[in-house]
Amino acid sequence: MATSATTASDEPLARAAARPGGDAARRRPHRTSPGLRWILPGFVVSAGLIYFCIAYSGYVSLLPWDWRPRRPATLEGLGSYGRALQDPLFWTSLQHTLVFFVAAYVVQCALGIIFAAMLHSKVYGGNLFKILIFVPVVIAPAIMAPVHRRVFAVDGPINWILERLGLIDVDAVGSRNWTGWLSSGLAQIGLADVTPNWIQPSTSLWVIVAVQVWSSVGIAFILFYASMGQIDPEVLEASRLDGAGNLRVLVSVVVPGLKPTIVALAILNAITALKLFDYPYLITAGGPAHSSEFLGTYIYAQLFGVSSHYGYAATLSMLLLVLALALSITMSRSARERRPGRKVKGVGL
Amino acid sequence: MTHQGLGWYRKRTIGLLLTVGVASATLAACGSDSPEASTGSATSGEISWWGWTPDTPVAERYIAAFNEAYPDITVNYTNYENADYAPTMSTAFQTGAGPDIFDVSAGGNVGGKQLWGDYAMDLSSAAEEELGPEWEGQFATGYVDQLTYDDKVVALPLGGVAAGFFWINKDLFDANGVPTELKTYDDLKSACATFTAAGVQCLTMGTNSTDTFSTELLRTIVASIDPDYYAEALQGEASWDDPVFVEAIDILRKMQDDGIISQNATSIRQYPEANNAFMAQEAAIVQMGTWYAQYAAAEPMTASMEGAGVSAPVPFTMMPMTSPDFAGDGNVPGLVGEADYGLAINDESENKAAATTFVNWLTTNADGQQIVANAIDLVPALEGVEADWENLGLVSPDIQIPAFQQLYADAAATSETRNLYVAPETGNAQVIAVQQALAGRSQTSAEIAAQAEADSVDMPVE
Repeated sequence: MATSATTASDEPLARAAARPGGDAARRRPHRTSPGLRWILPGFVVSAGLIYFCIAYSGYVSLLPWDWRPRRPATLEGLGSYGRALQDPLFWTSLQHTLVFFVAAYVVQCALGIIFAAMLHSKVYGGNLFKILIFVPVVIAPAIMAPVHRRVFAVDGPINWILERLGLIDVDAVGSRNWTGWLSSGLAQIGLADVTPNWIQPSTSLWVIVAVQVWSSVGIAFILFYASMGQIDPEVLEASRLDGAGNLRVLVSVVVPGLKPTIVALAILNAITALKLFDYPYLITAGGPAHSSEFLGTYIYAQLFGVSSHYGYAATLSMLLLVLALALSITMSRSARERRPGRKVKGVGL
Repeated sequence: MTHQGLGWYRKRTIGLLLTVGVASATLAACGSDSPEASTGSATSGEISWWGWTPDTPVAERYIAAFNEAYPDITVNYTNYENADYAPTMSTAFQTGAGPDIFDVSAGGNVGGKQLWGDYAMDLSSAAEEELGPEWEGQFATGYVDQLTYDDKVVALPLGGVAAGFFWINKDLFDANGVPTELKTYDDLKSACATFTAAGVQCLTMGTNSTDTFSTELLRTIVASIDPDYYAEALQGEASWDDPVFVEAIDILRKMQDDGIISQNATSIRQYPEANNAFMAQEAAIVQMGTWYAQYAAAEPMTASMEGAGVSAPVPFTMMPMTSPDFAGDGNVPGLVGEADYGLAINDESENKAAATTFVNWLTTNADGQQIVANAIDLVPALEGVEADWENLGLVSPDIQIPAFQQLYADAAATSETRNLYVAPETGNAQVIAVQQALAGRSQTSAEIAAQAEADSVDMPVE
């Protein structure tokens, strides 16, 4: 939705600028130079800091992989990059990032659309539900992480519920296991390693996905809710006159109208996945055994967790930067290519 | 473009260059080395001390005693969680905002001398000034060497530590009729069955962290199979995929299957969760080192129990327990120990003199070391100093004093170091091995051992 909102606000400006003697044209000399002077010092300092840091990271990444401050800084070229590309944990982290992105994005979109559609139906207590869905967005991960650790603990609330539902048995030594039929069922589909101990290699990544979805579905909901409000009611009415039921209207009329929002959410989720750090660090510490390691946590571990490998951490950071840039450019281009077709989708723009 | 337009651009360019110049100068000033540091006064001033240990109440006791001798030196102590120490220190040193005094340990991935030794000034002359030319011999054997890095004494030892045994809640043992000496694996298994039946967790441990607490158990198990193997493997004389290590992983897994290790070990951390479970009397056994003795006194235990969420704490009797012979090969695992940590002085400190006064008083002065001994957090570094056992406020002094004295004697006599030869990569590989062993069965013990071998870095004895 961010894409369409920007475009919508830009259009009147563009039209004004195109008009001879229009407002925008009259203001042009004042709009550029005085403002630039005011922002220039701040711009130079902030851009200087950001680009200086990036350039410095680039320089450090060319030093030996285990270089750290107060050690001789000898340029070694791209050796660290070669090490990273051969590092299984780098690829594991990337793989986790991809899985996280796809899973979190799909579930977030699905839940966001469902919640938005339901709350457009004027349900009783709709405002309360809106608040409940959005509240997790504004709670800091550092505050919620201990709660999530407790929620997913072996003796935590989730297992308590599953125990009451008869899905978990407690054995003689106090360990929790799936009840007989469930255990054999999971074994048959190759999930024998999935036990009610959630922070373990086979499930820890999914715990992070679940927590992320919980904490960010409110954003998707708000964006979809606003986007649905812009769909021309006449289009909906026409589809109903053509005999479409609720589900058909949702799938064939509403969802296509949400495409700009879906694309915007993809970009937001991709950025979130690439820079993910707080939840995996605070809930699983990237483990157990690197099973929920992401690039963010791996870079942190290289810098502070093992023995201050500044060189290697800088290399991984540069690779992350390249990935983020490539992804942003690709997605922006892709969104731009879709733009000409956007107006005919009937999303009220 | 008009002439006027060019002029405007020229002015703008000059302005831009000036701004960039000012900004660059500002950045350069921020990044440059500070001007020559003043060493300040030796009897007055304000100094900062950062450490992951001791706990703040213990540090406050040290500082209060120091201030009786030096009232004009203010010491501000900041305690960091193990996992926060390295990031904080690293950032502080890079920005020239490091503390005057900081903790340094013999090895390990928190405060290892290989991480922070570069930032410390050489303290050999300061120690010599206090203790004379034979100063090294006045500390416990090996402590000074263990805190020496690149031929520089980067820290003076405050005290030593030993691990490789367990702490038990004697009250829970007695209440459940469990003998307090568990000599074999079967003794331990039987005790845990009793505790589980009574709704008490048996051995609490946390592996969901990068710290190496969880590896102590693995090392203890290894010692019950082959007492020499672990030290040899650390130094590259044996490999981690050796059958001894594979068997140790098997035993670790068996302990989980038999209910000795709780199922939640992979989802909790040693600190705070495992510690809290023991302090809240929810678990009967925990594996910690000699530093844990500090909670045996009623006052710190009460505070610790409150910290663990107990609303009306009644202190209990905690006792050290020698490790059982896990493998049944007749080997009783011994202790491993070394200088726990020392105090280092930032070589860029502007209060070096006051900092030196504090470090010297706490490490080389008998009064200072007595305060350290009485906190029973550390085995005192200075030879001849012993805790004033009768006046520590222990919960059950009659049985605790002889047990603690024996523990301290064993700790002082240990010949195998704890972290000195554990390369950070190796420590990390051991943590991963424990996590893999307990978190699932998708990998065999041999595969886990092979991974540990691949990820470890040997540290041959110099």
